[in-house]
Amino acid sequence: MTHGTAGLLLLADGRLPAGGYAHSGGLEAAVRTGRVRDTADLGRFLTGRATTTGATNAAFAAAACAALRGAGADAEPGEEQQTLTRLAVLDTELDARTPSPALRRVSHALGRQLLRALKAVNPHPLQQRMQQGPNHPVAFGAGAAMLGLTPVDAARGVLHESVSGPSSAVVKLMSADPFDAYRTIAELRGLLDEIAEDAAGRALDHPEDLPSYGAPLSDHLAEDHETHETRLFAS
Amino acid sequence: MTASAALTCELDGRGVNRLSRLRSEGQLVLRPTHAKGFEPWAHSRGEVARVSLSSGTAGPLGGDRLHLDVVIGDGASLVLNEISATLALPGTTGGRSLMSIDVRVGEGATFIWLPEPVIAARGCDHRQETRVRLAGSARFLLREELIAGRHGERPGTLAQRVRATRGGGALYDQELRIGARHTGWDTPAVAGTAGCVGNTLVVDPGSTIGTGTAAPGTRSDVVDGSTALMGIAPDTVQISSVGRDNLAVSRSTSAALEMLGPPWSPDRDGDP
Repeated sequence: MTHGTAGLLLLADGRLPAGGYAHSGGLEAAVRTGRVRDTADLGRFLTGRATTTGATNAAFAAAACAALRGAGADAEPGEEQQTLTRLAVLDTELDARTPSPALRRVSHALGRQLLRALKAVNPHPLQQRMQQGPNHPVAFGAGAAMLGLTPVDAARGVLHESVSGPSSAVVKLMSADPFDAYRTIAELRGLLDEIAEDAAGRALDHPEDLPSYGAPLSDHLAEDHETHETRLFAS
Repeated sequence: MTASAALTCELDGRGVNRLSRLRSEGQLVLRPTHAKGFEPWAHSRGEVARVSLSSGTAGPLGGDRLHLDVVIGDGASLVLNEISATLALPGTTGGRSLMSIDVRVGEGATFIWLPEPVIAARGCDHRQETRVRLAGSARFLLREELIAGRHGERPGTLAQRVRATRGGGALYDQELRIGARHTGWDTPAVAGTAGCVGNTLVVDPGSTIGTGTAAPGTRSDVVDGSTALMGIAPDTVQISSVGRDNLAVSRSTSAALEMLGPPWSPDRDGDP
């Protein structure tokens, strides 16, 4: 199966001008507060992020992708409305799973930027009718479907971003060897694949049944980060 | 063991809170009670109904299926507390234990829920599913704590999900998972090396407790390095705390409730 690979590489490319590079996924605050001091800590941080926020976001991206794939180019107007309604429900459900106001703001800002980029890169009629600042995983999943990708692709992409963002940020935040940082991702690939497949398996579930894995320290780090005047990354 | 208990509190025609249903079963024992120390919102309100949940036996043990149904009718007010902590233990034959709790809070009703901590003993495999359905004008407080094992003990597996909806829409949904089977729980992104995780949810319709400087629903107060008071909605906040033990979490949570002021914390100036 090679279908859609090029689209996934485009969407998950950190160089896509959609604002992702400005975020460290909580790592800057984790380094500042001493919770992450070396590459081993980074590996633990990324594992915790992938199994909580990452897994939840992956499930929502997969579900958003599945919602849009149901509505093909020849969709009836009623079907299109159903898709938009499902995307809106997914967005509300994901907000309820994001207790940190700072993280809600970041997710909606990144969703807005991604949607804006995709309107230019890969225009699709539904983009105009979608809510303009959805949560990032919802925008990512919808964008994946518009590129002909599948729910598992959307889940993989979101998970990849959730660990590659902090990994590329780490060299700016502490003295770390970039090769070591990327080795931590390589070591996580089995776990990431497992989470992505699980997420895709739940893509058609009722939105309220999707995962809601909490990460209290990530919430605290995000809130703490916003109180600092001098910071390298937006989150 | 399978046990199902139920509790309904209603406001009668004379404005008195009545426990119209109080059904205990097996280890789930419900009985009318009195206030245990300071109670958020309900403190010194004599008209509020109070019920204690106590455990008739050890556990939950692996294999147990427990269910609690709580209904607070329109305009009624109830405090539910617990006699002792819940110690989740492994069963003799293995298997997961499940505690499911369904709560419905009616229009103008108040539910103050003060459970004791849930302790994940070594080898346990326990899941708690709490679903709270709030009417648009329902007031609600839940203050809960999870403890990762008894003193010096590696915790078993524990998953605790709390989902609150209001008027049918999702308001809050978080599942906390601890224990060796949940890869990643003891990392700097989730719970670190903490022995206790606390979660408090306060829904106070008509108030602006969740309003921050950025926008409604965005209150953000960093109470200490591992405790935050966060706006979920204009009238809703979550207090999330992670600490060495439940004493630390309890102190931090109380400090956060002080930021909300009375009636959620004791009135320091006036009478109790």
